[in-house]
Amino acid sequence: MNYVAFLILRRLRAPLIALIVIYSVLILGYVLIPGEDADGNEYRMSFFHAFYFVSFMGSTIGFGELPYAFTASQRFWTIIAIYSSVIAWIYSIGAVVAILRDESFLRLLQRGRFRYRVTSEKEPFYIVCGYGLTGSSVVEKMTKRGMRCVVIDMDHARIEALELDSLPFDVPNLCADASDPDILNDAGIEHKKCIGVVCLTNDDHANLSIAITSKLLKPKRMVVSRVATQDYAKNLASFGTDHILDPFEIFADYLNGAIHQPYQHLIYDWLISPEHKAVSSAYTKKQGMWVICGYGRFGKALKKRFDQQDMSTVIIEPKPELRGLETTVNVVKGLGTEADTLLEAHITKAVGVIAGTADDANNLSIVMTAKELNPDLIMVARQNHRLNRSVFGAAGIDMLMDPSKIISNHILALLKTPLLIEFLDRLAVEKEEWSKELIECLEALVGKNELDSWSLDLDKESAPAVYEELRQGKEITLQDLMKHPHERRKSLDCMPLLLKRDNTLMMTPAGEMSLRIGDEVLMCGLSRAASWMLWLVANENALRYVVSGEEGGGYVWKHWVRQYLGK
Amino acid sequence: MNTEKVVFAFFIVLALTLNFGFFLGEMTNPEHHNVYELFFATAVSLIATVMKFGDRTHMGAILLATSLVADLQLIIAAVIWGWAVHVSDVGMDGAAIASIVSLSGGALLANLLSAVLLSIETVMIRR
Repeated sequence: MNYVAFLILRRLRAPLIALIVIYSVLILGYVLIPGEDADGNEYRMSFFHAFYFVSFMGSTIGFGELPYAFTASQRFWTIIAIYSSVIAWIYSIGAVVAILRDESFLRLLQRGRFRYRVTSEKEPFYIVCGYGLTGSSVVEKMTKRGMRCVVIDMDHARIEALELDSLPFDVPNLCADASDPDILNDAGIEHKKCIGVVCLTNDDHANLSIAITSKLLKPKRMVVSRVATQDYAKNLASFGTDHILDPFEIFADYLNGAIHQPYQHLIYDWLISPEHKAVSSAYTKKQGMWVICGYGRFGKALKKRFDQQDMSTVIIEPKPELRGLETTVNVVKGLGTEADTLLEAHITKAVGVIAGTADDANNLSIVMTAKELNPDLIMVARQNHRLNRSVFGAAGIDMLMDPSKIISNHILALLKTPLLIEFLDRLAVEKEEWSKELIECLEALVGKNELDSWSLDLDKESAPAVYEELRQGKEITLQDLMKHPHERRKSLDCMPLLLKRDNTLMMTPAGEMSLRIGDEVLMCGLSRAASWMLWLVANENALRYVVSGEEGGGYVWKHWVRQYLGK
Repeated sequence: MNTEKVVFAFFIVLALTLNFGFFLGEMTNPEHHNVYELFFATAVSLIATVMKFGDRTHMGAILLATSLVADLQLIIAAVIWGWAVHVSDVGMDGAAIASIVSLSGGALLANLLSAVLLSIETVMIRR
């Protein structure tokens, strides 16, 4: 039995005992008090009649005085009986209603329901701890891609927001402290279908304890954690947390890529974020001196990378002593919001300005003042609050650093397919010319639409049709899978990025390549191509048609669709 | 001293003693068995049952079970009594009182078991 039933029973003790005692006393009273029968003889009610009378009187039904008209003393007792039984009932019903409205009872009920829903989950799912800005955007994107997740957050308002967000799936959610192992247990951390844990709470320590719990229970399961300080990042890394995401480090790498390897950076940007930059942005000159305003965690992460590339920087910081900076030529004391400070930092000679303070109004003021002094500047700004998104959008910032967006895009790329991360790792060592060619292909493919990516596993479960054909020794090329399943002369808007065969990776494999069982292919393109392709690899008739042109299972509607697509 | 335990033990033992008092006497003789005693035995037994509601220990569950058995037996005995006196044509005869007393004997056994379990629990705590 669960806690809820025990709690109800325990709370019902007093009202039930009160009812039993009052009924017993009343019944006993009627048996003891003498009455008169129709002929005026003395008569004693039996227990049977007394129980009958008290039962209908207590429930206020009232059949009258049975079996004979009452004497004055019996009526006297009846008055007491009426009031005491009504009070007993009001007390009991009141107690039951109070239980149903009790906060702790409701919480137990919710937890019981949550536990039940998680236990009965049959598909692989992720546990997402923390439903703030990042958490909500991760969950929204995951559910849109058909991935299941379970959400825990401490804040009641956020869980209510989750119930209001119209997600395509029902997401089991609980308002509780995720660092409590009991809660994690209810959320299915020991469930065999739980394939990953995503820690996105605002508290680094809570993230740490969630990650440790998961790693102890199942060392091989993926754990992704957001982190705000380097100490915790090292701590998380020490026990093998798979992905540790520090928004400042990620953005610093991103900016570094944009400056030194613009094309490679564009590929990364297109694959990771839904709204991507135009290819023309790669032509802007970014090498030169940069002005960094604010030397906090963000400023430090940027400075480290600029130093590695031997690029000169000027830092503007209101309290250089506090941040451990020596006041040399490259350090200017001040906020950066005034023209004087910026001029002192040689803003007119700089190629870019980075407004990286923890205050949104200051950041906006910095970029606007700097732009006036030097209209050719590249503007990079850190956005701290989501509410200011529209303001930053209007300011025409070249690169906006929005921590929650960075983390959520990154997490989704990690969860989409592990192949994408392998591709990005390999991309880092490719030459810029190669990246330039690829980005031009991608631009021709999707234009301004979102570039989606997905993986094809040529095994029995994910691609039964392809598996069957290959097993019979037939030849299928990559190109075949990229044809439209209703009109083979048309091809789907997608291209292969990576082919993984026996642990060797092939970047941008050619379309003529024939496939083998066990191959894993990373594709990219429009998301509608993904759904066609995933349908094609599972449907034998469609596959036979695209490979050889043979019609299988001739549906009339197929003919119509072909006519529609062909003309 | 745990007040809850005292009250519970009081009701368990009272149910046992009342039931024993009712049970004593010649099986087939209605004169030997007092209806008031049956009434009190039933009421006290019901209270003892309710007092075990919501106890999550194993012992609590067993005690709840035994006192539910006692309730069931006593209520059936009371129903037979009412039927024999008010409904049946022959009235309260030897056969009716015999079945009432034997039912209460069953309840007595359940009450006895409750009392024994309670003693065992107490001994375990005091060790």
